[in-house]
Amino acid sequence: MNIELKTSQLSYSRHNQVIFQDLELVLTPGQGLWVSGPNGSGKTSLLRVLAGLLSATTGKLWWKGQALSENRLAYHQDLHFLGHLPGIKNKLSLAENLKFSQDLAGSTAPPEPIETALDQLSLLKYKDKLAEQLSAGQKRRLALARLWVSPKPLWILDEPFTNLDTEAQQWICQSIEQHLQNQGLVILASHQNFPIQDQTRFRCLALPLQEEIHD
Amino acid sequence: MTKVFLSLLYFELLLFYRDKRTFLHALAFFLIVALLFPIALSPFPELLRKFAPGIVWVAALLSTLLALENWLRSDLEDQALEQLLLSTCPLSTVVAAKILAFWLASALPLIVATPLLGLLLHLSGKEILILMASLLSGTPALIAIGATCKTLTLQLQQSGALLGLLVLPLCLPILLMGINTLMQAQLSLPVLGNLAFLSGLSLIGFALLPIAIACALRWGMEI
Repeated sequence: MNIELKTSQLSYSRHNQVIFQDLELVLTPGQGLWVSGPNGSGKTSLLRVLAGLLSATTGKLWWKGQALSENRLAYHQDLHFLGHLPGIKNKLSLAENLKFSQDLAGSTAPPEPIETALDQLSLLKYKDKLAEQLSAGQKRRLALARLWVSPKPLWILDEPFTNLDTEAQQWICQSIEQHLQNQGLVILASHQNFPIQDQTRFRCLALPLQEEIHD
Repeated sequence: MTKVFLSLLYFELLLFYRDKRTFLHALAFFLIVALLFPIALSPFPELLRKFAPGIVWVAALLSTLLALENWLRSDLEDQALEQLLLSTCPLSTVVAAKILAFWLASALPLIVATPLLGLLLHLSGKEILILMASLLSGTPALIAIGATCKTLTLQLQQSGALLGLLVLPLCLPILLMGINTLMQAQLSLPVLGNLAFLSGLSLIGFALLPIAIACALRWGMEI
């Protein structure tokens, strides 16, 4: 099967304001897309449309040659979406949080052990602590650990570097590169540059700042 | 799909167990409201016995309304809702698991506490059992209707008053049927028909309203 993400004439507008228009995009295995742009340029909206959380005003989105509107659950099976908030349950322990997301993700690939993922992000010693005791950066790390506990081909990451220290930033960059080498697909939004080694795999989509609202 | 359903149910109940506000507030509210009536109306056993069905059911309805404040609140706060929307099992199944967990955490404690109120309101043992059976078969429908209304008002900051205006009229038929069950029992009339009707409403609510809630959630993301 042809693993690729394709959009045709994808447009999205809200409150009478066009966020993006006629977006033509093809992303094939091993390719990354860096969505850049200043605050308020619609990075998050674009990512949410691509993840299927928002429905596009016009245009279509295809995954593996099938339109998203007809095959939503199969798309979710292959998709990891990481929003700007970590989506961590404060009253669950770290291990429980990952187990929960593993169950919810329903990945077809064999799941990675939770301990390995926590160890890689130096969170293993907090394994049985409640997530509310973590700092913002540690919560972010925990959210990233989801990407490993249930392997999926397409990652959509919204500002993955927020709150992370340099070490964790480098680690996530390495993981993204490894994922691309394993024929994965990555879409990430970030307003900052990030220390990725192999820039050739990444394309840049710069979104302009929105114009004034016209009624 | 069954695995996701059971896992969701388990983790939801675990969350309710760790954050006891949902059921403790609702339970305390239920007991206090029900105890206000004997104080406010009259302490005469025969009158209390007559009013008991209405008192307990109104208290249960109001405390359900209070508990609904917690419906999806934490999921919205920490954006776990996004992950639920992107889950690989149909959203209505996810919602059904959450409603079931919500009912177990917020309504079941009320039913367990009902015998205590029954004794205070001078009900006989058989009447207490019938009251519990009517609550058991009626509260799932209350929760399902309430959760639907709460989902519609999810994006509003202060939804309390609006939620009451939406939920209370919709729950009126269930309230009347529930109260009527015990009244019939007190007159030695058969109650099985009433209970069957309430259970039917609950089953329909549990089967169909999750679909409506799932649609409401998807629309809610667009706002």
